[in-house]
Amino acid sequence: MEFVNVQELVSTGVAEALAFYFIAALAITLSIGVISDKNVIRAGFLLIGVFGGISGLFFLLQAQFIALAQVMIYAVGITLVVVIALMLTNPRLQNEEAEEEAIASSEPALLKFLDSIRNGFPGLVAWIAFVTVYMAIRSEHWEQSTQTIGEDNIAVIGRALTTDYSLPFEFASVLLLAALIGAIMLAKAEKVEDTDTPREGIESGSN
Amino acid sequence: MNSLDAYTQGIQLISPEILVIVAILLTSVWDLFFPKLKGYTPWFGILSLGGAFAILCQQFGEPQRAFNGLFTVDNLTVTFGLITCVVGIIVILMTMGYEHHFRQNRGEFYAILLTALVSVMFLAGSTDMIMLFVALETLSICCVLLSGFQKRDAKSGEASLKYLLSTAATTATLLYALSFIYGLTGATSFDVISQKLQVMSVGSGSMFKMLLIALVMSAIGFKLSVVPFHMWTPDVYEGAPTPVTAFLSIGSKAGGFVVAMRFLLDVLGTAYPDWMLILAGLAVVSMVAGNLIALAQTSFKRMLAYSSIAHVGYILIGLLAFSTEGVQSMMFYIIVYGLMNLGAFAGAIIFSNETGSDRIDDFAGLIKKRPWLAIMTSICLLNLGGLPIPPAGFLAKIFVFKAGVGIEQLSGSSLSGLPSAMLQHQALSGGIPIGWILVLVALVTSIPAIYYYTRVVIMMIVPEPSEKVANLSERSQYVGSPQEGPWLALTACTFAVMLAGTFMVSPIMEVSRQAALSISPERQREIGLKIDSTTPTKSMIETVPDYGLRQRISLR
Repeated sequence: MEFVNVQELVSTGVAEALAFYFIAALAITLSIGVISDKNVIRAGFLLIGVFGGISGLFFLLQAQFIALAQVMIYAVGITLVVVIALMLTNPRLQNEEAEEEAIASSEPALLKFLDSIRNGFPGLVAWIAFVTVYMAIRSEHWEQSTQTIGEDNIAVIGRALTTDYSLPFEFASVLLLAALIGAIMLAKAEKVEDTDTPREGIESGSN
Repeated sequence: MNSLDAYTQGIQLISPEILVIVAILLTSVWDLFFPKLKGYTPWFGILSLGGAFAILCQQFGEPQRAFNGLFTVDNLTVTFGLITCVVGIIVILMTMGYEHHFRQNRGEFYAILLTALVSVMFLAGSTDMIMLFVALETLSICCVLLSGFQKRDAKSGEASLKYLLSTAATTATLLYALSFIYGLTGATSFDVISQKLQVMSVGSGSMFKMLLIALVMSAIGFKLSVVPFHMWTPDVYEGAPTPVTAFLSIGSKAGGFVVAMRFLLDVLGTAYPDWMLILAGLAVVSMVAGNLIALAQTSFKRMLAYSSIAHVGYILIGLLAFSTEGVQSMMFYIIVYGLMNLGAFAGAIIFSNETGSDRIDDFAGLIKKRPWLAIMTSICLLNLGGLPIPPAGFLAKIFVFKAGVGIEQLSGSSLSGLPSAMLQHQALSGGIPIGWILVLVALVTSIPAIYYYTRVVIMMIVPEPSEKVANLSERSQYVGSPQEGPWLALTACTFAVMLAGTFMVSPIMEVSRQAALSISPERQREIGLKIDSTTPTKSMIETVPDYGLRQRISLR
């Protein structure tokens, strides 16, 4: 029932535009917060907000499947795991930051100036990238689809995955198998005394 | 029922890949059920790859589509499949002499290596963006895992992490490009995309096209380790276990090349004038930087890493020629380069297993203790340098250069058939003979290449034995030990290189030509000519069939 209400709401153009600007502004503000916040854990929580905003944009585009996947995989799954991992591994962040500041304040003026250029460089690259992409996209004529999307587009995606796109769908299981084996290999504890030498590699012989 | 028939036919077409996947499953559980017979694990891989090789040999012929055009079995797919099988067998042989470094994870290593190989085989046949992306991701993840397999070795971990971070970044750029292409054309199939892009190519904003090309090229360039995207190469090559380095240097690169061929020649074929100058620039920079930095290396593996960057530069000349001859020379170069390079790495494995070193200085005087190792490694190295002893590497270079010289004529008369966007470029380049510049750069940069390859050879033959070599036992005791594997690999590679330079030149060239014909750059040029002569109208856009997801579903 939730979906139907949302769709009725967004079908009136003004409400859709307003909702878009609101969510977009929220997502952008939060993402600026993510990169400017020195505390990694706080940044991680802000990231959840960013992903939530993006999933809101997908909802506005009536792409429920992608929106839900965005929430479940990115906002909840990946980000929370990262935040928890950070909480477990990196408790000394505050101290390091203080030390860095102490070092920075004792530097001569010229070095400080060079440092500020170096710190500004990623921002410059980001701006150039943004302007390039923006201009490139605006220069292209995009055809607007007049087709309405059926309410059951999750069913459509599911059917496509199991019929037309069955090969990549099946092959993804090979990918997952390799990832699983690899993860076990990396995480498995090894016996410390492993006395293998090259000579005894094939004890039982090959032929 | 009809769709069921199509499905079974598709299954038949991918039977080589299925065979390898069965081997993956077997190798991953074999150690669990039969721990005493774990020495047999690699043989599943070798047998399945041999079987896949045999099946693939019979698939030469007319191109066939499977799974609604997602997977195409044409001569290019088959040829790259064959290359993958041979590379796989040789790498597994090498690993048999190296697996003591992996301790308990031997079975896992073979399983992941086979997954990487099967993903290259799928990549070769992908004619759909989704299939391409899934296969490419599988390859990347397997490469990350493989380079980190020596868990105790910090360098191996570093290699793995570096590869992971750079591959994540390039995956993002590729996905961005693919999403733009889908947004523009509404299709995921290469055929439909290239048709639609051809119609749109006239009069569409070229800045967007440049952005697309830049994004695609950065992803391809990363896989091929072309110069601005090569940062990961030396560290990963040095840190990764040596058999993995051998696989990365040719197996995953073959995947990169087939993506480059299908994407740049087929999908973006009409945009040739747009990407030609960029790619030519990348090729020149790769040749110069790769060869010059390789000069200064003291580690054998690192030297091979930098020289592989340079070799990619040479191979790209064939792609730039945008002709059947160019692709043909490219295929020949890839095959021969793969054999030579695998041979050199097998030599490095045997040497480092016996001495524990891969410094070039330690190779000194090897011929006095291990004459065959020194001679066979020398043959591979001399061919990598392009010296005609026997002329496999030499011929590969000659063919590529000949195709490269052809570029000049191309930009003159025959290219005028391509859409008008290229006219600007001709004005821009002012008739600069790009082909000649490329070949000239390639020739000049071959000189340092010859120097640093022959330096190792001279090292092995002329000076007094180094300390490490002098400490070697008089007679090598490889018979009956796991060292048999790398020895077999080295011998096989050396003989293959010798054959490829003498009796096998014309068969390999014929196979390469068949592979090149299935991409047929000439056809792309003809289509371009047709489009240029008739102004595109709305009706033309409509006649292009839409196989996009939405339409196809609604037909049901």
